Amino acid sequence: MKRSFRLSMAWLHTWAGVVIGSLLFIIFWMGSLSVFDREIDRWMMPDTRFHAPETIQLDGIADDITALAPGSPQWGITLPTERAPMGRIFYQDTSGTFQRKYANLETGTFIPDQGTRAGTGFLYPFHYSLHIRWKGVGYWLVGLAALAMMALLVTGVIIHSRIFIDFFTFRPKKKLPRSTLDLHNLSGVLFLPFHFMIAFSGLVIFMNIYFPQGPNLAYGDTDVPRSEFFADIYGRYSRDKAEAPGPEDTASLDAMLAQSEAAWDDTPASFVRVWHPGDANSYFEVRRSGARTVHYPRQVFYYDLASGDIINEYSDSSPAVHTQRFLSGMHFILYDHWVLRWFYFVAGIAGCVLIATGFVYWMETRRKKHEKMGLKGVRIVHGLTIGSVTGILVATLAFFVINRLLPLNTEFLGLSRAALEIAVFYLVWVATFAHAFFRPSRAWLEQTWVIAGLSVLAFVLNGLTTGDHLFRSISEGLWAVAGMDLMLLFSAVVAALMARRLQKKQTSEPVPIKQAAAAPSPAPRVPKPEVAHG
Amino acid sequence: MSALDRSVHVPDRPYMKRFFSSPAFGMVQRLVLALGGGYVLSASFVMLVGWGLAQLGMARGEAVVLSMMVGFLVFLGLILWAFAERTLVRLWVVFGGGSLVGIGLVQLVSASFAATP
Repeated sequence: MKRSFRLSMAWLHTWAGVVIGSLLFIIFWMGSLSVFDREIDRWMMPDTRFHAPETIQLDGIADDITALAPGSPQWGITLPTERAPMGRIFYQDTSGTFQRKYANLETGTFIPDQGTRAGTGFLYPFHYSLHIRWKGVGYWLVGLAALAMMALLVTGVIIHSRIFIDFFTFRPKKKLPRSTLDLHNLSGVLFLPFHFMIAFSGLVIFMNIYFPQGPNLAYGDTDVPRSEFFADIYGRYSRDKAEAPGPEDTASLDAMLAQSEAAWDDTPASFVRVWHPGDANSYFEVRRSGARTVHYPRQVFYYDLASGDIINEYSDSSPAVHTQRFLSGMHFILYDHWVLRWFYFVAGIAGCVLIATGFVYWMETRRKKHEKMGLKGVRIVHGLTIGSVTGILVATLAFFVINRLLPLNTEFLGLSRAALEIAVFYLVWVATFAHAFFRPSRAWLEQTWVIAGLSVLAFVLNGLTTGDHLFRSISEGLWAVAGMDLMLLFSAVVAALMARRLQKKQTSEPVPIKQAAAAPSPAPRVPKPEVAHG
Repeated sequence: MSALDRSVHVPDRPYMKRFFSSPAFGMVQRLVLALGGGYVLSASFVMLVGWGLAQLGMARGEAVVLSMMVGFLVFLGLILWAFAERTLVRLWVVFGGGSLVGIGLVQLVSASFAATP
């Protein structure tokens, strides 16, 4: 397109980055948080801060659930794990809508509604759907961003001549654009394989959304190609209702669960479900968890509830499907591995740094030129960038803070507590965009200070409102809560250091970038040699 | 920006004509061809290769999953090429013409199912 292949790729790298960068940052930020979504849940749902039970009782609570929803077509439980110690129950009520409840499966008691969608219900779906449900637009935007991320990584490598040297190059004391570019290259090169894997596997997870027409020819001789395809790769079993009452004494759910887990070499099950409870044709579904394998398995047993006999089983074993599950599993990271979990988090945050520094570099190197040209759009791009980088951090922290401030069962303007938390998230986010637009020269600095302040506030509020302050959470081994509190403190320190640094560079008025870098502190300094030829 | 410079230097040409001969319009074409044409091409690839592998004896669930995963990489390659290729005509031939050929082949294969019930 341009004079040379490399110039063309540089052009694509710049503009794909500028156009998609905001979206990518949001996805990477929410994805990084999703690595610890269940830990965030524990922090935001104080009644679920307990240790995972050694043994669970399904038979006892089954009667309670059936009593909650007589005539329900199905109910199921996501079983407790070390990271999420409560059973997550869902059932369809008589009107057909799905209801959710948490329970302690050791004692068989329900846990009161915690009034929050927290990490797994809000932050994680944000990562893959942006909460835009209309016609699946959110999924497609995320897919476009993933594709752009891969294109950015490939073009980034192509336009890069010194990829090995950049492994070891970071010059924080240099002028802002130079040190920003160093950081961009460092985070980009160091985590290149991870970032490519995570973008590609993200697409592969949703392959049926992005290529819905895929099976149409291979399954062209069937009536509904898509459902035949799904039956092949996910397994399919269903049995209709008999419309006659089942026996009083059904087989033990706990026994069938134990039998399934024994068949999987003692790998725990992740999910159980009762179909047509109370009917003569009622049956019980048990799914294997991915706790022990990278590969996200699809292995299911179906039992006849009256007799306890296995009536169907599915296990994926073919190579291409297994590869798809392996790639999905690498992305989902549902397996138990704390070291890798932290690596994912660090690599995700490195992705955020990569994207943000790319943005800052683009803006700072062009600011003077743009000002001279009198382009109105620059201020908008600037505002959008700040709002989608520091702004979403501020909004996320506000989400944590409001979670610790609202009493349980709060309702306001007809909004439930969970909806109020989300409303605060969006209101604060919009406010950060407005702030960035109206105070362009100070917005980075001020929002960075707000991040530091809100982090400390969230930390303090957790101690005050739940009593699980750092000393108690550590001494009682509540690592999810302790980890979240420590991360809040850590981000407060990092944000404060960043703000101090920005403050030194910035005077009250926007200065052309070269002068600002030459006079980082009010004290007169001997100009360094690199300023002279910068 | 060369786009801006050029439009400043020829102020008397009518706006529409200026737009159609501008690099900006070239970029619009390139983007639409890369994303739209690229998607049609890769979706055709997924369908045809999935079908073809199944014809060669692969389990058809396997064939479709494999072609879907490779399809994303094909799409990526097409996008990168769309921004590397200098002449727009070649892009039109590959993305525009290729899409038509892809859709035609897909129709042809599905027509064979309708013929043999």
